[in-house]
Amino acid sequence: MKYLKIMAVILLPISLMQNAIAEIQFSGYGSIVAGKVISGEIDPSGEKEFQVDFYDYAFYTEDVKLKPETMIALQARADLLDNLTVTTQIVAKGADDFSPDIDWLYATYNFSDDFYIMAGRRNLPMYYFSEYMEVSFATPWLRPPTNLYWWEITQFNGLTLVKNFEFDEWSLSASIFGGREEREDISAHDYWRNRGGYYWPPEGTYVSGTADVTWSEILGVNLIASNDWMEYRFSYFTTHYETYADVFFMDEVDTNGDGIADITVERRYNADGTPIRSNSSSVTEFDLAFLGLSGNLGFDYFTLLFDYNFVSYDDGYGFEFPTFLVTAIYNHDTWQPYIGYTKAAGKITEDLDGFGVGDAEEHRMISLGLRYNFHSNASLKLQIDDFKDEGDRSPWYDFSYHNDATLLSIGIDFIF
Amino acid sequence: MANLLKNKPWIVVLGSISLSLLTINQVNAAVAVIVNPKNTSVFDKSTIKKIFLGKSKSFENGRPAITLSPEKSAPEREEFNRQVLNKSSNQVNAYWSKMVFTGKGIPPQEMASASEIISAIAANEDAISYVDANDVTDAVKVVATF
Repeated sequence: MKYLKIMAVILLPISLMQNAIAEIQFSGYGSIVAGKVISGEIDPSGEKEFQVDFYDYAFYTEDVKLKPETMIALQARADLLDNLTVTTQIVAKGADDFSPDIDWLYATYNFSDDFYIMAGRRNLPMYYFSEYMEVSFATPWLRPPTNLYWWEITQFNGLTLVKNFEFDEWSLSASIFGGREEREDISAHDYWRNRGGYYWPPEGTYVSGTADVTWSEILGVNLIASNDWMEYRFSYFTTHYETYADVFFMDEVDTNGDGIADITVERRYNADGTPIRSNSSSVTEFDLAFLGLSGNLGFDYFTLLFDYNFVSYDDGYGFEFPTFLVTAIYNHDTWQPYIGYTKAAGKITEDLDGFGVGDAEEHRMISLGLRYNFHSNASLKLQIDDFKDEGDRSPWYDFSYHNDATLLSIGIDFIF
Repeated sequence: MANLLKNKPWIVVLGSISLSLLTINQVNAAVAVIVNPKNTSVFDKSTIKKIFLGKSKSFENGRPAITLSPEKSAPEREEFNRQVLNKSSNQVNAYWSKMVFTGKGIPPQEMASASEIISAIAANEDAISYVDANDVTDAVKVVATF
C-alpha cells in the first residue's frame, strides 16, 4: 500500500498537468460463476473442499456457491504524453467480499514502437496465463488449473523492460523484470498450516495465526517467439521468499491447584506486548527459482496448449516442484469444447532433521468443459474438474494431503 | 446416377440451391485489404497478419501502422479473421482482451461502415483496414484480396 501511495503521489501531478490532453479510456472484464463439489473426500476441515483461488483463498464445498469466483475489474488507461501511458485496474472479487483493490497500477514509457518500460504494479509473469489469469474471457477455462496456479503471490511492484523483434516469419518478445511483493494476513496459509504447517514459533503448541509473505529481489526474464501458427514461451525468475506468522497458543491453566487444567487461555502476545511471531528457519526463508516452458499450437480448428514448470526451493528440504498442463480446444466459431490434464508433484531432496527425502506430494486434475460464445463480448462456460491426490501419503501424510474432489461449475465471462 | 436423380428431383433442386448459396457467399465474402494510395509498402499475408495482431507496429516504409476494422458483427470481419488471421472471431476477441488487460496492445479501432473506413484511409497516409471488395473505391489502394 505504501508503494501505491508513492506511485499516486508521482503520477497524480503528472496526470493533472496533462489533464487538458489526457483522454481516459475505460474497459473491463468480469465473471459470474457458480460452483459445487459433486463428489470427493472430506478434508481435515470437515468438508469436501475444492480450492480454486489461493491468492484470495476461495474454495467450493457441496453447497452451491456464487461468491468464490464472481468478480469484476475496471481498467482505466490514460495517454499522458505521446509516449507515456498510465494504466490501472481496480478489481473487486467475491472471495474478498467485493472489496475493490488496485491490483494494477503502472506507467508505460515507449522508447520506440517496439521497446518500452513498464513501472509499477502488475501481475507477475510466471506461468503462461499468469499475467491475465483473472481475465477468464481470454482463457479457455473457467479458471487456470489450480495444480499450477496456486500461489499466494500473483503480483509484484517493479520494472518490466520489453523489446520486440521480428526475425523472418517469427515475432519475438524479450522482457526482463525485477521488483518485490509483500502480503500480510494471508488466509490461504491457513490451508497449509492446518495440514501440518511449517511455522515454528517459540516453545509450546501453537494453534493458528495469520501469515505474511515477502518475495524480495524478484529478477526474471520472459522470451516469447510466435509465428503463423504457434507460440513458445520461456520464463525464468528467482526471488527470496520469506514467510512469518503471528501465532497464538491455547494455554491450559490449572486455577484451583488440583493438578488438572480447568480453563484454556488464549495467548497471542509476548510479555512485552508484541505479537508472538514464528521463528525464522530454513523452511520459512529461502531462495526460490521458477522455470517455465509453455506455448500453444494453433491448427485449423484445434488449439493445443502446454505449460511445463519447475520450481525449486533452496530451503531445508531442497523442495522441488515440477508441474505441467496440456489442454486441447476445438475451435468451432460458437462452441469450444475443451479437455485438459494437469499434474503437480513435489519432492524433498534434502534430509532436514531426520524428516527424510522422497516424494512429498503428487496430484492430477482432469478438466472437461464447453465454452459457448453467445456474444462477441461474453461467453458461457460449463466445466467439470476432477482432482485426485496420487501421492504416497506415508510418511508425509499431513504435509502433502490434498483431498480428492470433483467440481461442477458454470459461469459467464465478459469484457466491456 | 441419372436415374437416381430423375427419381429424386428434390436432390437436384437442393443441390443447386446449396451450390448457388455457396457461390454467392464466396463472391460476397471477398475481403480487400486497403491502404492510402501514397503507401508504397509491399504486403503479403504474413505482414498483414502481423499488423492486425499488433505484432508489427509499422509498415515496410518505416511509418507507424494505424489499424482500423469493421464492427464485430460485420461479415467481412469474420471472413478476414478466418482467412488472414487463421482464427475464429471469438479467438481474436479473446486474444485482444489478453493484450488490452496486460497492457501489451490496443486492438484496431472499430469503424461503423465501409464508407467510414474508406474516408479515414483516404485521409490518413498511415491507416490500413479491410472492407468487402465490392465497397472499394478509387480513394484507396487495394494491396491484397482474400
